[in-house]
Amino acid sequence: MSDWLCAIDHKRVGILYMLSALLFFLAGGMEAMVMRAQLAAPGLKLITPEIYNQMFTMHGTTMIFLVAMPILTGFGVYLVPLMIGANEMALPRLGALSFWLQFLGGVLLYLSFATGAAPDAGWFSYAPLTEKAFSPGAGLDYWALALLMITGGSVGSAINLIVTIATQRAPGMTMRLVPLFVWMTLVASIMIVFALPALAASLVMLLSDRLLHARFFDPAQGGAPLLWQHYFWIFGHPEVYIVVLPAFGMISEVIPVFSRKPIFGYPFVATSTVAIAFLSYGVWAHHMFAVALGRNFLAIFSAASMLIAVPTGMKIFSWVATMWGGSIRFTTAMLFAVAFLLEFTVGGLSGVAFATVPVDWQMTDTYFVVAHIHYVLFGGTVFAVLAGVHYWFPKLSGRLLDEKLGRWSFWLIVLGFNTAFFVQHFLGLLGMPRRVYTYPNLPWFGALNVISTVGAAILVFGILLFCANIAMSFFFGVTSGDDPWNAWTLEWAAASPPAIENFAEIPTVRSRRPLWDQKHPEAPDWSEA
Amino acid sequence: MRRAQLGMAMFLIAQAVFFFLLILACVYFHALPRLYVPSGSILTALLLAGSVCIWRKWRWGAIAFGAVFLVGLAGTPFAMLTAILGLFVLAGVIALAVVPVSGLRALSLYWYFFTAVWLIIFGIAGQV
Amino acid sequence: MAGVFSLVLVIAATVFLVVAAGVVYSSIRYRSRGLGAPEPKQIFGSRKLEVVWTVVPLLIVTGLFIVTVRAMVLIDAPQNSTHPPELVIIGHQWWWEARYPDGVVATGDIHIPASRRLLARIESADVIHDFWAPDLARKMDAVPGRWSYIWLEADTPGTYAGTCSEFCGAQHAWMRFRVVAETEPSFEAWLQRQAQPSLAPRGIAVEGARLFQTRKCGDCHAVTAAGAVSPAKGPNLAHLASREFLGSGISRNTPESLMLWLTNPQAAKPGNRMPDTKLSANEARALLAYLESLQ
Repeated sequence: MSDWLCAIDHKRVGILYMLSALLFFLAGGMEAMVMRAQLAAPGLKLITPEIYNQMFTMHGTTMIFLVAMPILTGFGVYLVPLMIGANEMALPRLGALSFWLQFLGGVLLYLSFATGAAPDAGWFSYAPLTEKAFSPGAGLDYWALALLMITGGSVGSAINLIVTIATQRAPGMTMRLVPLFVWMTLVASIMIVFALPALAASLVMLLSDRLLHARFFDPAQGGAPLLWQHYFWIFGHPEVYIVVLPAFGMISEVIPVFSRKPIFGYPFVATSTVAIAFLSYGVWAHHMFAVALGRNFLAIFSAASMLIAVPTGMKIFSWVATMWGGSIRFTTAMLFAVAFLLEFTVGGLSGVAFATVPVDWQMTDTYFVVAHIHYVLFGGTVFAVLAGVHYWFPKLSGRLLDEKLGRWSFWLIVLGFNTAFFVQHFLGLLGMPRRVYTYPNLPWFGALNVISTVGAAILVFGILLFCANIAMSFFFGVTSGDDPWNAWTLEWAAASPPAIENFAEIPTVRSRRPLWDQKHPEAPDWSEA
Repeated sequence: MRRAQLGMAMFLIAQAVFFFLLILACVYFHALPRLYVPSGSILTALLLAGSVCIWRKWRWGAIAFGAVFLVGLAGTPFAMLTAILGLFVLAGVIALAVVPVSGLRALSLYWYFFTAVWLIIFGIAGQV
Repeated sequence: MAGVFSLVLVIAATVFLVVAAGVVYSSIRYRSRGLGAPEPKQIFGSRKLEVVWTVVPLLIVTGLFIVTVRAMVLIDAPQNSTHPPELVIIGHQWWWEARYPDGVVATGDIHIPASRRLLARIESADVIHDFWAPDLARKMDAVPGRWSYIWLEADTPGTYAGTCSEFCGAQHAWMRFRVVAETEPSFEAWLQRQAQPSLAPRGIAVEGARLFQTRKCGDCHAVTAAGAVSPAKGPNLAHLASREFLGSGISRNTPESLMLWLTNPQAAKPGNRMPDTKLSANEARALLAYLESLQ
């Protein structure tokens, strides 16, 4: 036990992140099911409005900060040294500290339930609702303090990843040869360094208002509620790319291996990632289109938000082109990766709808946006992580996940997810706002909501099957060997699971697919023009 | 240690964004800390002296100047911005006491950075 | 607006179909022939294709942007015109208040003349709300400390639903409203009737009227629409008896619901700001009679 509590080996720390993320994923999922139960029919009174508001706040906060970021960090911390041919992260103690900051921040957040005052103003907690006058309970203080700890953890792990990727690469591995998962993790980590401090500044100002009688956001005292929104979204928009780029990286590893072809257009995929990173700092006000900020101001952000769809779409096309002409093996990992392509496209396109300001002027803050965020965050990030788990589980554990159980869980998750969330586009179009604990018995509201609830239940069942697969396969799964998928990047040269010192001998690389070169000495990648 | 310095540089970039946004908000609301010029100047001199000590690699001198700065800061009227800066200086002083020689290069970056932040706060506070 | 949305839908559907076709086709045509199958041709990219699928989306979004800006100009009201608003709409936790130029204040149902574009000013008395009448106007956030303007227009007479669309606390779900659009003469008549006080109370309603003042109900609730203080602490109760809904849509206007508001406001709308009244049964009955007399 103390091996794990005091662990600084990157593989142990990586697994700690993954387990923590799974735990909070189940908690966030329960919060979601409580909400979906309450919304199954109009006028239900399963829970009070106060509890409902705590549920959606904790659900959003948990999923973004305690699930999405940590799971991607966990995979990053685990895989990056293996992929770049290093034996350890550059700053191992910082790595361990960062995990515990994140985890204990999560514990602090959930302690708020025990005091009966969980935060209840939404995961982006707009002022002045969050001022003491309107939210006298301690919930938001827990929220802000917990997030400050979690922010510290995120920045710490990002720094560790940046320094590792910058300084620990194997001989011959220039930045142009790193696996795309490493590249995307690097870009996301740099984005964290520039974006998370904006959240920290916002939280410090909120706590000052609430506890020290400052007046940053309180209009009654000369403060500016909109300042919160600007500062929060200056963090918040890069944040959503932070939780999607490493997921893109996972897809960029899985699809090539199971299509038996290299990623189509590596330089474009890599460059478009940098474009997304830069553009993401220039779109934040699209979360504020419903505020009268001035037509020219809104138009600029509309243009930038539409523009950012171009480098994003480019990647989707690259992944499809990777499949084209390949020899595709539909393992469970590949199933999730292909489903990701379709789901994320839907989510990205509904995002373009929101960039279209007049559409936003009707659809923002409705179930249409709830559908959008779940298509990009669940259909996007979670599906990509599910693909990644099925792909890398053998490396972490030395065993294969069961393919039959994998297929069952896949189809249930796809069915459940789409049933739960596709109908929400229509609920938004019909006029149902978000964050409501109940709704009037208007035509179709009840029917669509109950369909969504049933879909959510199916989704939960699929997730539980997936968890069962993990548990069973960990103990009883078929041995996988070092390289079960006949893959090409360095992590597959290490043992499954890797020895404490990953590589007995650090390899020298000459291309993006060192193991392809080894397996195909007659046609190595580096001999391509 | 290239790694420690690169890591520290990344950390300081994050702090720069953090302080920039906080200072911007304080300027917008004319809420910068009120620092009485003579005592503010003494505090500035203390931090600068600490920086010189670090530059000359005299660790305990910097710790001494830092500690006196913190005591002096505690005497000024409470302001969120200076309190946070104070916490960072405190962390820096403690780090100076415990870190091995190999970490001094990185720590010196830290020290110069927070001296600069103090100068900016005090400098703007004087104007606004 | 419908045109813009249709355009977005067509673009989205087209792009999705292109991606889906690529995925489905590849999945079937290029399915592996088995584990022993030879590796396919290793293709690393195509600059030409990359350029095409960068430029084409770029052209699409440029076109979409032009359409967007045009629509914004048509839909959006000027934020700093000298023309005074025809309606001032104020959001409170958790009810809406509408103030007309002649001083009439209405709560819950907002009447407007149909077939005319009205300039409405959106304000908030406490936290950020959002005024959303989907059929009649764009959404607009009600930000405390700021004034924001929208065009409100009903093409034909009718009753249109609306709701708050920015999370504003415990009862955000029940911060609904209705906009009743009438012909011009009908609207003018309504405005006149609003400005008149209700008929004098009779029977135990007289006692109710007295209690209304002595029990401090009048501190928060006005009972006349003309010249009422605005923004007020609580919803205006003028002509309460002729309303269809109570509590911004949470219940229908029946004697039972109204009695619940009198005797146990927290049960009527949990979390709302009305304090417990501690009325005796007799006092409640008298007040109920009074409120029901407010036709």
